[in-house]
Amino acid sequence: MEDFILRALAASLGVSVIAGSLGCFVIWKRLSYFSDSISHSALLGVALGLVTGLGINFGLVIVGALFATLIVVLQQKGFWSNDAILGIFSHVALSVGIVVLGFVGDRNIDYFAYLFGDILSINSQDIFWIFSVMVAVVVILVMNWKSLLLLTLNEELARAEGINKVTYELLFMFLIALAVSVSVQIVGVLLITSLLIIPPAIARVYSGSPLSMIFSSVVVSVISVLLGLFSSIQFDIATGPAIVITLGIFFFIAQLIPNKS
Amino acid sequence: MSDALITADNISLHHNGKNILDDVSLKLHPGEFITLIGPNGAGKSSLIKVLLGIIKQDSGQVNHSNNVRLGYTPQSFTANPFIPISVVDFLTLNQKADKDFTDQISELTGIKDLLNSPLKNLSGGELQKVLLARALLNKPNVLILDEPAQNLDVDGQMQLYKLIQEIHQKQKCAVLMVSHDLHRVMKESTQVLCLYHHICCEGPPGSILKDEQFSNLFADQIHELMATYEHHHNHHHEH
Repeated sequence: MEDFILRALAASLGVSVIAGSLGCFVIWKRLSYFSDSISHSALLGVALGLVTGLGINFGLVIVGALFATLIVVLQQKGFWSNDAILGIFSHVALSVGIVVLGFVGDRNIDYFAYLFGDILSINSQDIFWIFSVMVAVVVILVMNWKSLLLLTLNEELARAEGINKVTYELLFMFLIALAVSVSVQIVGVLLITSLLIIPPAIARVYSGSPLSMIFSSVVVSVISVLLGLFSSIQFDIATGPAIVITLGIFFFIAQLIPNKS
Repeated sequence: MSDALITADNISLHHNGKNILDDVSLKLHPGEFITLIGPNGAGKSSLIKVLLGIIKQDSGQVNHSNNVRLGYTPQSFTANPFIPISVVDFLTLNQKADKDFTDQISELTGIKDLLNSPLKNLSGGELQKVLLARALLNKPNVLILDEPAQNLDVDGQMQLYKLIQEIHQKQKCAVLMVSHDLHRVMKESTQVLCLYHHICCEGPPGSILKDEQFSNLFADQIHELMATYEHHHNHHHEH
């Protein structure tokens, strides 16, 4: 097998673990539009990474975390509904990203690769980054599992038991920013949210506990990303859309399974 | 009397320029059963949340004695419906209880048959019992209940109050309960606090009925209550 395909396989595995597990919390917390807004800021992150020389991945995490904090600050004002704030951020972030990237990138910059993913261009440095993020996400989730879950289940009870809401919200947003940073190359800025929410949405149908939902979600994600990857090579179609279509097909098939309560 | 488990001194709380709590003080001693009553919007839940540290008061102090172990059931609890979680997993989440003790508490609260059902399928009454069980798993010596009988039918209310009374007596647990049900309040509390942003009146149930401020706040309910309460009282003496 060619090296670039092996790297693509490794990347698929790592990103599936990250997005599949964090995605469950995105679904539980009803944050799919939130993660969409953050992922739309990713082009700006790419630009920042190129300008500062810090590298694309660091640019993505910094911009993602910054935008997440900004969104939360605006939400606290209570003037606008959440969907209005997220809608504004989502599109402004994308537009600014495209313009800034146009200024700082070289002339032949491949927008299509950033918008819809380019899994076959992944290098070994990217793989190292993806697996570092994977280990970080898994360790953070395991260590804070009870607090995160109780806070998601019922905020008041969690706070009465001494769980600090703000700390965990910030932690979670940081994790989302990390997830976005590793997903850009796989499915692209425009389709990241589908990698976060479709696998857990499928897993929800036949899961009886939070933990089993996370495991199923990761498994569904691995299978879909691999199938999408192979069909994209086979039929010469863009990888991101191929993966999302595979996920979409699985989602509809899952509706045919008799669901658990 | 022994030292108070929870002490609140001169608590004030404002929100958007409105006084929610105005110079409220209270003490909860071991073995006490304090019922907090007051009209809607009187600041009852806010006071509870200040005592628990969920919201921060603007002035005044809350002290918990070192040996306090809290059990709390929030008002109008709804579990996030998108998380697939069974009752037993919810009970033991973030708790240190072992299996034997969990079984024992489930037996006491009558939720043994519910342990494996999904949390989101429970009725209002079942959910209240599960919340109470979860609070008890912490082996509390202070139980703080915010309108535990809300959304229950009369039968369910009776059962729940009976259970709370039983827990109060058997587990030697101090109770602070918010309630609307004046009849019940009179029967079980050792102390009644009537709150309308400030504490209007406080005292043992018998004496509070005669308080003028109390009568003004609950004028419509009180006539009926006097009748049943007096009746109950006489009944008791005859035996």
